[in-house]
Amino acid sequence: MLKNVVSNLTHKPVTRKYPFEKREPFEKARGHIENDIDKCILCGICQRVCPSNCIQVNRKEGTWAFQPFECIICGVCVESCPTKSLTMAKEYRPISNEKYEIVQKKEVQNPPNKDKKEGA
Amino acid sequence: MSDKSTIPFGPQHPVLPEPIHLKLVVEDEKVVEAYPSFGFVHRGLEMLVQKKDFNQMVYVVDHICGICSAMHGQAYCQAVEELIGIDVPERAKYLRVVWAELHRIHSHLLWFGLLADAFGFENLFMLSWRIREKIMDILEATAGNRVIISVNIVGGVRRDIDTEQAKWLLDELKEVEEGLKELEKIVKNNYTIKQRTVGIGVLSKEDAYMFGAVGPTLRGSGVPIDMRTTGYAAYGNLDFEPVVETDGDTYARTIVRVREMFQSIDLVRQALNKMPEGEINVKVKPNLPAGEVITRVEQPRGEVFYYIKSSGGKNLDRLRIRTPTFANLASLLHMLPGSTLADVPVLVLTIDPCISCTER
Amino acid sequence: MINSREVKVDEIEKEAKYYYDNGYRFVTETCLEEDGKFKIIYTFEREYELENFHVYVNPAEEVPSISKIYFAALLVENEIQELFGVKFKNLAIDFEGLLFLGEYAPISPQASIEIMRRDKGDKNE
Repeated sequence: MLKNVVSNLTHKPVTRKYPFEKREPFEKARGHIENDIDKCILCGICQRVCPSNCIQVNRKEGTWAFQPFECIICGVCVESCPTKSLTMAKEYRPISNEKYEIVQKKEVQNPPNKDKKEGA
Repeated sequence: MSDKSTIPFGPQHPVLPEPIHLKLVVEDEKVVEAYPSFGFVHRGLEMLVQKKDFNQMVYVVDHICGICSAMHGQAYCQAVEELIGIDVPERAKYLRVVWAELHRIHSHLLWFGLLADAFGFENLFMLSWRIREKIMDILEATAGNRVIISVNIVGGVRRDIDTEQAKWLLDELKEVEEGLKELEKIVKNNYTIKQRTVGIGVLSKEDAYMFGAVGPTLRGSGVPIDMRTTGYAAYGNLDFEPVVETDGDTYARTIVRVREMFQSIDLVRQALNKMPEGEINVKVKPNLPAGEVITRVEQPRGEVFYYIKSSGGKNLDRLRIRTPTFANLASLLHMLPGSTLADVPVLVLTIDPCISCTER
Repeated sequence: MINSREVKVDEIEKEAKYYYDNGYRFVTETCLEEDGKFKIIYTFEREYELENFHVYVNPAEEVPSISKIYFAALLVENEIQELFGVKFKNLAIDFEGLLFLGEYAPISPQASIEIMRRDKGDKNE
């Protein structure tokens, strides 16, 4: 009992001064997802496997929309992406005052369907 | 003259982890009748099978409860795998055992802290949750998240533990074991804990069996029933016996849970030793055959019962979950009349209530 | 792939008494919908072996309760009464719709068959 009292008096504090010192998460921890729009081919597989419906892909307009506050950070989209453009980062997303949405655009070329059919 | 008054043991109470409402009819400090009422956290998760296909449903089932979350996923995946008729690789079975036993240790440590808080011993609450932080660190390093780890999928598991991580895991478990040995000394020798728990809430052997009690509530009264002995998911190759005490009061149930924690550490060591090499999951076809299956798994609070029914296609027809707290509530309603008002928090916590599991 | 035999509605109490006398433990009751009728499956257990039997119930029929024999069945039967709308008679304690749902909650939310009406005349979907 005396040993406990002495060690508690002489030990340095076990708490961390939070906003100034942050804990480094472990290597394979799941924090938030990010998309590299140049590698993305807008196939829509991530939209089909997501359990909470937080990704919307529009092929005609070339947009990839994501609601980070609905995401449950399960990682299924990262595992099923064919071109590996979705990645999982370690840190949890930073705090904010209101819910926002992330929309990324990409240039899409319309394939010349009608000209070919009329020409042949 | 004694007259009766009604006291609400309300949904908000400093001792309860989750909301449950009990209407107690009290006559001069003794409780005479008790009526429960719940439904404060009912989310209707069983009806989501109509909208999400059977692969997405694994993540919904993981979010039913935060403390026993990996075991809900394991039970669902075992039921769907039996319906389809595939066999999971051996390495995946051993990994499921490792994560399930880690959940059992951290659930019992959480419960022990809440019981100490129920009779005012706040310091023991803080100390036992400090030991629990090491297990949270192990879960974050191996599976990715601290509380809801979503590591089971239909066909196996998603992540692997390599040899370096296994060595680190065993070192952390040694420190957890030393902390547990100090806790055991306190439980066996402390005067306050014994005065508040010995002789409170006695359930005889026939009562516990016939009222449908499960888990440590049943094993603390002398009935040796444990679902892990049926041998699902690599438990058939491991060496253990159900932990049983015969007194039937709150103190006996505490001793059962403390001994189960030591047994879980031993099971994790055995599983990491015997794990074979190989793959961790198999591919699954996108459509289900028709049929119905019943599975039972041993969660930290008792036996959970899963019933699924499908008639082909991608969605299940019906998913029914009967959680262990639901089965233990009848014993609580039997123990409450006749006790004093100051013992009601200890009695409510002795069955280990997890109300968000009960109401899905 | 579960083995379950069919039983008529009036024989439920006799079957429950048989299981009680032979030392079986009550596990649970499951309710589901099949072709416009409700099907209730009763499950009992002894020494790790399960035994089931089921009954088919029309939407307006009353089912005898087994809560006088097995006290633990009381909570499950009240829950089925509130979520699906099947009526049970001779319950040991009848919570009359206040165990799970509140006073302003929708009626029998888990069933798609309409069988209950409130006094003011609102219908189920």
